[in-house]
Amino acid sequence: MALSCPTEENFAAVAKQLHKTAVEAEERIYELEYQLRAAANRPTIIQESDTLETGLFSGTVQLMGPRFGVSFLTTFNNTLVPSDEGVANNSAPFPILGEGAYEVGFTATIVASGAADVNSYRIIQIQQHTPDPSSAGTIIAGFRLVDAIATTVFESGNGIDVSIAGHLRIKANDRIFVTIYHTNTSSTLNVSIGARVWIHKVSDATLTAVL
Amino acid sequence: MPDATPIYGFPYPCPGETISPSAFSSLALAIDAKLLDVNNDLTFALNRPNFDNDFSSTQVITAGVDTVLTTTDSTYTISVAGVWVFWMALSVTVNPATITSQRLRVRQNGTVRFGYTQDNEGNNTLQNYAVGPIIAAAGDVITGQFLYTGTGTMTVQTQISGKLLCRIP
Repeated sequence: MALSCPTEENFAAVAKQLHKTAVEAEERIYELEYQLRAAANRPTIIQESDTLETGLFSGTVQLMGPRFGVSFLTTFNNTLVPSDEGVANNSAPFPILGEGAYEVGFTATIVASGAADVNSYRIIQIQQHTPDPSSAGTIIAGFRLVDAIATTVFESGNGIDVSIAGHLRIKANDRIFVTIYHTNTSSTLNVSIGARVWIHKVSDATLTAVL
Repeated sequence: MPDATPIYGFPYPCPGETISPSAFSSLALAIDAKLLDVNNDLTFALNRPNFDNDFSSTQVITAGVDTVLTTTDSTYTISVAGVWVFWMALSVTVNPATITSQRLRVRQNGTVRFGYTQDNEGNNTLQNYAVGPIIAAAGDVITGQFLYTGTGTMTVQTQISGKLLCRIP
């Protein structure tokens, strides 16, 4: 920071000079502080379902959990993505957040609406789809599956808790979906209020190497 | 009347005021304090309060009893307010007579936040784990809660780790 000094012949300028010094110092420190805090507090969004989700049939892959198009609450968001935009099933978040490595996770309690078939299974996935005009799409046309985080949980008769997390390299126009496939044929499944999806940007796609 | 900058409140004299040495020192001290503040942020960023507790001491669990994991090294008290991701795992050191399922849940101040259910058909005792985010205040206590179906008692050890994603000022 280069600052000029008032001379003995110009003491009247001292007040003005101190004002200028204060403003310049503030500008420089603010920029430094902003960058430091942005680096230490990476973009993170946590969303939570606020209604009971019902009617998940066996034998077919279905969307579930907090997502665009259903009711959810954003419980934390330090990004420029509007809080009414679901991070799952939505084209909005990643063009704003940018390509990079993301930690993505999902937690839920899933209970049979009627009879629970002991030892039937539930495959829970966080799927990443990328634009591909030639693809008919397993979830939406024009997108194909490129990566997934998955777990399989077996019914014990009392419902299940599930929690999964992993890392995905996500491009700006990709979308993520939380899905379930289950074999509980005696009844549909419900997802209790409070299912959560979170995304946390671990790093940008392109970084300058620092040794 | 001295004025101040809008963000940090760095003081400066206004035109027409009598300038004294304190005008210089006040501004210098205010800038210095803010730089120390930023330096503290840098130190914090370089030393994030992530943690990992290896196997805790053992605890005996009875079949069918949803039991809070109480050994001191199976809990964590939040050191800094923020968004944390916790990972908790539970290992069996002494098998129960029989086991058909187990459920591990992670709690914040006694309220369940997330969990994971394992099917243990065939009496296997697979390690159980749960992972999820918690928005926490400093001083919040993270604990586990464990339930299994079967017979007899089992002895378990807990692993818990946490990482701070974002600080909440």
